[in-house]
Amino acid sequence: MKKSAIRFIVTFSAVCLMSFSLFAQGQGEKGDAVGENGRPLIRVGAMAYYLSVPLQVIQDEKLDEKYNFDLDIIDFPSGGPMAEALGAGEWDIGPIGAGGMVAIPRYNAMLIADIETTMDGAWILARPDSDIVKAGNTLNDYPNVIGDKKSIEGKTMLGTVGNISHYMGLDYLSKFDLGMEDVNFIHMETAQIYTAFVAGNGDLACLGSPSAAMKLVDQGYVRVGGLAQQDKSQQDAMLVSEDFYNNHYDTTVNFMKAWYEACDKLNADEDYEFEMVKKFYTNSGRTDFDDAGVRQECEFNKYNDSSTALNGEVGKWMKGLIQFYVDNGSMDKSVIEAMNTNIKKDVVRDALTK
Amino acid sequence: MKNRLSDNKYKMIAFINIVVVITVWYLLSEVFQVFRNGMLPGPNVILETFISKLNSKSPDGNTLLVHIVSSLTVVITGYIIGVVIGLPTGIFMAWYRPIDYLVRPVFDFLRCIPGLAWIPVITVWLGIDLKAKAAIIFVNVFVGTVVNVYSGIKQTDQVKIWVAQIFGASHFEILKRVALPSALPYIFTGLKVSLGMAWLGIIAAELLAAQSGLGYMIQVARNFGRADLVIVGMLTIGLIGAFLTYLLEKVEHIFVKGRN
Repeated sequence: MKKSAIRFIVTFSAVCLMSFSLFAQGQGEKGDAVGENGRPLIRVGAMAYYLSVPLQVIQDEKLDEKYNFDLDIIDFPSGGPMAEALGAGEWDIGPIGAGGMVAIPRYNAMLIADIETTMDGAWILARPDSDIVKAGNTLNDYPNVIGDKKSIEGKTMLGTVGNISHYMGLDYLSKFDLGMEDVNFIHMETAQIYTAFVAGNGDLACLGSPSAAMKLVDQGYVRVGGLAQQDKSQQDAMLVSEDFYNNHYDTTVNFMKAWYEACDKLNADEDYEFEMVKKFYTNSGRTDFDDAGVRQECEFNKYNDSSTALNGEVGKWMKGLIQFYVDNGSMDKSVIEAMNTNIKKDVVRDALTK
Repeated sequence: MKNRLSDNKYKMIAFINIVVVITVWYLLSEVFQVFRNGMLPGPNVILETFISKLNSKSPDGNTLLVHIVSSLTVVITGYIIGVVIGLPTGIFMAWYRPIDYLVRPVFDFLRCIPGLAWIPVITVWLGIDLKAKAAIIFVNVFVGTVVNVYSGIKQTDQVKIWVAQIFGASHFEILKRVALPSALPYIFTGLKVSLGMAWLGIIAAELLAAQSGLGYMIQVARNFGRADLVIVGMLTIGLIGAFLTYLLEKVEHIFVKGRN
């Protein structure tokens, strides 16, 4: 081969290498960023759901000013993309649900707090005329779970593999000594589950989104299971990126001080909570909620506030979720170790005691 | 002899190109680790995952072969329907002006709509099984086929048409004996482009609803943060697409004169 061709290949490779290096190094690196008010900037990952509502309170009550930080809120549609964005260094702190099981072990995020004390709204729904509903409650230990082995076997279940609805669906099946192989578990995104189920597809809809599940209940579909009904807790967690935790610890503590003050306000006044949830959903561009639904959501859920944050084992739910997926072979055992290493209790302790 | 030497030279360059890409990939991922947290697994990791996925059902419940068969079923079903409907549509649109006037405005409108945008309505119209997924592939294939066939027929040499007319050929005979043979290279290009578009649509199709398939495998892997499995899925789609295109080129060589 001619020398010129070899030279071209070597030069081309070197250019590619440098370009990719620059691209990769540049992603998401913010350093000691400062917000528009001259205070330390926190890039907060958020989703337009209940778990992120305290962010609205922090802004409305000027708690960011009080605790000396600026907020840059970055919206995500669900936990999957939010976890990936954390891996790319696009946000520093944020409340997340099942997406945390990827963000913590894979992208080395730190779990610093659990968001709620009680939660409900992740439900499994069936058609009112289905065999499952006709079978009624057959489990003495779970009086609010409906169905029996015969009626569920072979049915089509709609859910999203790898998120809370999948976890809930598999747990529901396990109550009847069934597994994923005993049903047709069809993977769909939440919005499509709702559309497909209403259009007559599938026998069971596993929905992690309370608003979609409540809409189905309002339309006459029957709740046959759900995490709370199956005695399984549902939980969201506050994550911090490794970089932010190591290099901006004090700002992280300040953020949690503001967060708990916001949660205290929300827990203290139901009407205020209702208004804030509505305001947050509206500001986030959501149109799929009504007053009754928001009231119900506020009744179901309660934030961990300054009086409860130090109670209980932090990260217990997330550990349970990861263990569940390790046990069924979806994740390898190494994630358990990463999970245990990345639970940090010091931030909340310092936020509430210093 | 000279041609064979030249052919070997190009094969050599193609081989070196692949080696360079894999080497750069290895350097970026394993040596310099420019992407953090295993976001770009090295080629060695991908090979290991590929081999293990041939037997392993984790985390999506199926082996790689089951996913390949499932996706191929969807792609080929949608592709065949798209080609069978798209070919005559493109030919008649290009050859018969009234049909062109009638169909083209609707076609121009529909071809701008991406496959993903069809998901909500297809769910309601066709459900969530094979026919719904094949419909998403069909949309992609139909557009690609019609556009290329239409262009091919439209570019028929006017002189050849005049000669056929002088010899008394009817409008349909000119289409059959002049326009279609001269448009064959375009038609095959359309078939190849559409095949690529069919594979592009598989992710959208399996986003609709799936229990198996390469698009489904990629989505589940994404939900579990398995970048290695995502890349295995991507490479498998690319390899199968390239193989099917190669087969189509072989068929083209049989039908299109001068392609050898």
